[in-house]
Amino acid sequence: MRRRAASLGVAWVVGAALLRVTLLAPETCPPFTAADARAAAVAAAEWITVNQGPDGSYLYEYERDTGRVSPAYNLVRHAGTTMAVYQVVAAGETRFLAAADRATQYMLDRMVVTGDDAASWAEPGGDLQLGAAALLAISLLIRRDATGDARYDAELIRLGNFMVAQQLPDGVMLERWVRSTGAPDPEQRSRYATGEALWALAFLNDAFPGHGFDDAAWRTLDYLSLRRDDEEDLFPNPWPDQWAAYSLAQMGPWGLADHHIAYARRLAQAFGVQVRWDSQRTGGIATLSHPPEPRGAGFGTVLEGLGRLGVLATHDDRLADIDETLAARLVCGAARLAAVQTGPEDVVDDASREIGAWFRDGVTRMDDQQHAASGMLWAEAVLRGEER
Amino acid sequence: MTGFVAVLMTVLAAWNPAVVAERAPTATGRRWIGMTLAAVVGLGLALVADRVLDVLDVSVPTFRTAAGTVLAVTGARWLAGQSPHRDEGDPLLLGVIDIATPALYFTMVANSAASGWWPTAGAVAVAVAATAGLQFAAVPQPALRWLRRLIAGTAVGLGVALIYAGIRAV
Repeated sequence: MRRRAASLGVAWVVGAALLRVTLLAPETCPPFTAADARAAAVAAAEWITVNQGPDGSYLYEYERDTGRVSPAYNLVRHAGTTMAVYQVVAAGETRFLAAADRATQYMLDRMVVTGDDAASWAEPGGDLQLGAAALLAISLLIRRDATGDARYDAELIRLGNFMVAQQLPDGVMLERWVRSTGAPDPEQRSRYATGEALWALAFLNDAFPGHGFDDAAWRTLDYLSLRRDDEEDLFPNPWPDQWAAYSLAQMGPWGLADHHIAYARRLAQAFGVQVRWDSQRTGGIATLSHPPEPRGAGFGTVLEGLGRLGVLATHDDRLADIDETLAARLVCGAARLAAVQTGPEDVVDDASREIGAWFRDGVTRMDDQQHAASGMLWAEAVLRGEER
Repeated sequence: MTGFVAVLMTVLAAWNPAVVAERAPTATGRRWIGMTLAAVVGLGLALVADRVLDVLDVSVPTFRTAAGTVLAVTGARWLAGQSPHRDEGDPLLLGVIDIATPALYFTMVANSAASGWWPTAGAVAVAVAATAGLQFAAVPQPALRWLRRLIAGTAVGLGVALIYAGIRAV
């Protein structure tokens, strides 16, 4: 009996200790207010715009220990970063409007006509990317809503027509339009661009009903909800696609089917577990047992996804059971991400290239600030009890 | 598998009446008192499951993942380890040791936090009845061995299912 009692005691003590530093490490969410969220978003927008070049392009990537600036650039990320700055403008920080407009002009200067009343943009000689078109469209739509300025409506319709032309009848979106052939590449898809295009099409339909953008959006939403992750062999499955979350929130008022809601629930689960996991990185062994250290871009997309699905859940009774949990995860995740944003006291070398940024392994990239800023705005809305 | 059925299956798997009956083939009053005391402690913890999770600072899905891990490891040990054998000692303490296992307590708390205390208590009552039934029916040891393995395999499967459910939750 003594042996059994001893082994049970060891199982309890050793098992409990092991669990406590691994799976049962405490989930820690720092205190966080709406003002904190706004300050983090604004600091990120400051980083983006302070480091903007005269031609409207952004600082792409910066390594703070060496001061090295990456010569690389990514057009889709340029468009996405511009979108985030317009989101900050839409939240009331209008001083960033001029910088966002310069970045927009960078894209509009590179427009290429691809068909009858259809156009997108790329560097001279380069192929056109669906994601770049979608995020430019979304940027212009957010700008249109924020300013009431309709000067880019013609460009928006052309971008919409370009995206529809990239769609296959079953809702699949083709990622690339090849300049040399003047047609989409039938083989190339993108795990990011499909959701980006879907949100753009849905957003366009709300702004310009009657152009058929809704039919295209429904086809691609069905593809995302029912087949995309399997057909494109994405891992994890469901792919935690914050662009799909934006799309679901945009299309929520249209009346989603049950399979769309089921997809939204699966996405919410995919985002929620990432916040729970990260919140257990509380130092010591728990940090080692809860890798990897998230970067601003990756964790920012989680916040964006939680924020937009939260909006959907507040309006759709079928998701009412996860409404409060989504909000709690969003705020917790935002608090944790804000806690590791570079502040004045953390500067290593160059304040203008560090303050407001999220570094991992000493490196920050513009989309770290893009996604984190967007996510912070959704957290702010939840903390204020608002809806955006 | 949802609701009470899920609670019942996991509690039965974590209790494993066949293991208890292998160790104590016949019912004795003091051993049952010990088992009952341990079960009451477990039910008490289950009753304050939310408070337990608050003190630990973990969410329901996170605790469910941990409980699933404990259940799966315990099931694997029953499958791969030595057969339980009759043991000597104070029957009351032996009864406590039979029941006060991490697998059962973690499972009870996880179930109670997610599905409520009454289903958990109901599942414990079924497990008690199943154990008593095996003892009173004097089921032969070879049959108990196979039943223990069957429940152990089920515990592994349910443990993995609990881990999955914990991960696939907001």
